[in-house]
Amino acid sequence: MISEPVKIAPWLDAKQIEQTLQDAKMPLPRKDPWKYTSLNQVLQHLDGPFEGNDQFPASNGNGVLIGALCDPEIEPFAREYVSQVSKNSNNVLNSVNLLRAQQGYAIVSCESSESSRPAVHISASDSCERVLIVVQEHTRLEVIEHTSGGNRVIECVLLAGSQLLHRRLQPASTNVEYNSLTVNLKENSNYRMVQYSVGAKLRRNDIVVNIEGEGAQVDISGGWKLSDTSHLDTQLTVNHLAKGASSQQKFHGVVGDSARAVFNGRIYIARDAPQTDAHLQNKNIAISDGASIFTKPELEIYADDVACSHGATSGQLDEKQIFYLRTRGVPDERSRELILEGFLTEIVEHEEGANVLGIEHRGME
Amino acid sequence: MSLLEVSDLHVKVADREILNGVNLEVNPGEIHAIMGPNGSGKSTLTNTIAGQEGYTIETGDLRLNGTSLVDLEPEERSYAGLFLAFQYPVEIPGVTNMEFLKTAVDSHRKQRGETALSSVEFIKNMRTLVSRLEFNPEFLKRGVNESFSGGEKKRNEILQMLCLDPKVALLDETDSGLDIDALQVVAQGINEFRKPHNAVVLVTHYQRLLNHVVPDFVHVLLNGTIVKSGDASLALDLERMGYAWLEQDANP
Repeated sequence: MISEPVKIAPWLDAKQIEQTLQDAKMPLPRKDPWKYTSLNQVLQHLDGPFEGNDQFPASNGNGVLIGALCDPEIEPFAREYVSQVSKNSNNVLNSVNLLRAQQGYAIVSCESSESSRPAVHISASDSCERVLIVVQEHTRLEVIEHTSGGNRVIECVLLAGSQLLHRRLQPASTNVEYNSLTVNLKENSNYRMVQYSVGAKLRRNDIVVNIEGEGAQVDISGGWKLSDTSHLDTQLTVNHLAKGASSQQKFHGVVGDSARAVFNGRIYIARDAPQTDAHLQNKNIAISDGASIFTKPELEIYADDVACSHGATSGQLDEKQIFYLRTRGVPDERSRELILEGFLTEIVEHEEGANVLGIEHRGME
Repeated sequence: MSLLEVSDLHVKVADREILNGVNLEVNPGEIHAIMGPNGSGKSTLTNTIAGQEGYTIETGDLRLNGTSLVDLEPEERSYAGLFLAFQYPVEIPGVTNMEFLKTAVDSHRKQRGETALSSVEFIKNMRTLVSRLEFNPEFLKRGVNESFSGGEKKRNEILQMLCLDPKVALLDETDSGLDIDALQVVAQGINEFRKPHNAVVLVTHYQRLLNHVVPDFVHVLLNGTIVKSGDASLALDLERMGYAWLEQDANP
């Protein structure tokens, strides 16, 4: 077989990836994890065409390297990590992305101090792109990611003692969008992510976090406010593969009109991961009869000596809360708004998140 | 004209008649206590007056300052000058006390044709109240009743009452679940609220709040009607003898 280089990462052989794809077991439509989102629609979307975008992200300061995967400064990192970070996630769509991507770039943190943390903005675009984020040992980085249409696959590695704050903002969009994120954490690293979403035609977020190093910490939270006929599906898996690590997942969602929200949160604790502390919570409020919510928490534990909890709820606004506010003179409609804003405020930590969800930032922290 | 007038009130909850002919007249400057055993209809009475859904008025009338409350929404009853301190104050996570109180006060101001207060003015007005009810200043930033102790919840009800300055305050078992210190703070709040132009209706199980807030009238509610009314000494009799003797009187 004659080799053919992958456009964005020429050291990879496209023919070989195609072959692997052909041999791979494709996910089945209408079965988990594609039970509520059309796999076909997403596959068609990955076929393009994409409008494209050749811009690299912008950084606000020093201490960070940004460049194409084949850029000489970047290439050593790219060779080590691209398609390696996500190789165990069994997500064939990541391979499809590798073959189709119009651009591939990496963000590598090089230095930071206690007082400074470089911030990188990844803007939204209807393109097919591959992103590598490397947070080097004992450095800190912040990534503010906007998504709106397109297909973005992010592979992210946090080396020992590093910290990454990842803010993902998903504003209203009329597009189909597929995002895949894999994060591998080495010892004592810290990954904190927030994700705020409002309606899109179809928006699917696959997130896999692999805790490979002892004492790593993961905190993922976020929320959604959906209306019209929008569809949001978030599939989140945290794999605890090393001992003494902790993870938190907390999502709140408000779903109206005939919108649909899907959430699947999974915690997996391997035999080699005792002293794990892992928690998952998802709460939803449906504010219309036509809204649908499918939420499922999953917990799979093979280690002893772990502290875990998980829970998922979906319900309607609490009439007792509404009555309480009304007896104080707050009109019915304002009471409902206030309760929903409060519900979302619980997961909003900064102004940009509040803006996406269309609520006022109250600085509750 | 009496401030609150309950006349021949019959109320059904889920097709069961709970109140069958309650009459009550509360005049400005008065404190009334309504006592009665569990299940006698005390909370049904307060919830009906406040306008909670699910409480159907079969016959009778409720008037506040001459205006019938029967067809008014809960918020309209609030604007008319009614306040209910809840037996179980509701938690509203994520909504700060500050935001809640300001929204409530601004809604009332809007009804009166006044402009909303600025946050600075509002906080200034609140500061004294907050410390008088022995709340930490951080209190305003906390979620409404969220992880409050029993005592804090009840003190928060009193704070809201002082803030909204109603004509008639119904306090539904505001004394239950309070330790002695909190009881005194609550009692002090009620006494401070009391003015010649307003009135208080205390619903309580026990005499102990009445040691601190002396009622002008005590009523006993039994099986959905007021079977006996008297002055403050009636509460002492009840404390001593219970309700059984009244039950015999009521069903000869």
